[in-house]
Amino acid sequence: MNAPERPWEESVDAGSATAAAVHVTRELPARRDDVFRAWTQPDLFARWFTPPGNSSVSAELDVRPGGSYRITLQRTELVTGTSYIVGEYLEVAPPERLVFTFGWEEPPPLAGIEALEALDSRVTVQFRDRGPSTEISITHERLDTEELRGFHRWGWETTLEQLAEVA
Amino acid sequence: MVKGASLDATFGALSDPTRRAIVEKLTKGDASVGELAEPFDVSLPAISKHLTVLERAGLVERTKEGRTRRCRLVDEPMRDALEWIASYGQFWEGQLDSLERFLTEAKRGRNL
Repeated sequence: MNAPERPWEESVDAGSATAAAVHVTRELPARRDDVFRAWTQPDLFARWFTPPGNSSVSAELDVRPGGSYRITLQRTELVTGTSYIVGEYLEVAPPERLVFTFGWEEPPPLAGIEALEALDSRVTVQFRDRGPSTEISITHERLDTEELRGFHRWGWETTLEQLAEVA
Repeated sequence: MVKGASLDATFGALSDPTRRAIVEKLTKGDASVGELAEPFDVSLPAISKHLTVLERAGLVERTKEGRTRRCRLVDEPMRDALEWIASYGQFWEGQLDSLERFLTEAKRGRNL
């Protein structure tokens, strides 16, 4: 809970050629095996994976490489309805690492989010053993479109720095 | 226009190396079409075509100053694009808040 107020501002990485990405890191008060189980056991997962504005969650998780998952969210805010987060596990290395694709079906009607529907963004969750606690870090990458993905050596960051000077 | 569509337009307009170079040049200051065409081995009409794409995506504005047309960068679409990427940082921070609460309560109740 001691995370800086807006930490993602410093961790937006749109500079690489293949991916626009965000990174978040947190030290969690539980052993690594327990934290890993909270991510991979459907009944446990559904008890915490509740994005704001959603009342209930159920999860089908086929946690093995090539296995798929489907998270069902009941929206209570804005326009009520059901949204799904879906994807496929690319890498499963208990209790250290999970890599999966991430996309929406029937996404919440929020500005911008529909752009994610069509693409296979990718999430990497790394669990580091810190004795009684666990350091977890999440990287969500490929948050861009097919076109942007074709970029080579284009300096988003440089350009944005220059923009900041202009603005 | 919904934001998703305008983000597509932004990313789409920036998918071309000439257009990216134009945008980069404009970050250093406004320029005429002729000045923008200078470093490239392409005709003025070709540059003008690229500018139209950038203009439609809302990235560039063309204004008339006497006889010359000046081009100016509009930074809002790119800021929107970055903000949208950053909103996923917020999403995961929120999920980690939730996971932290869950683990703390589970520990207390010894039911993990």
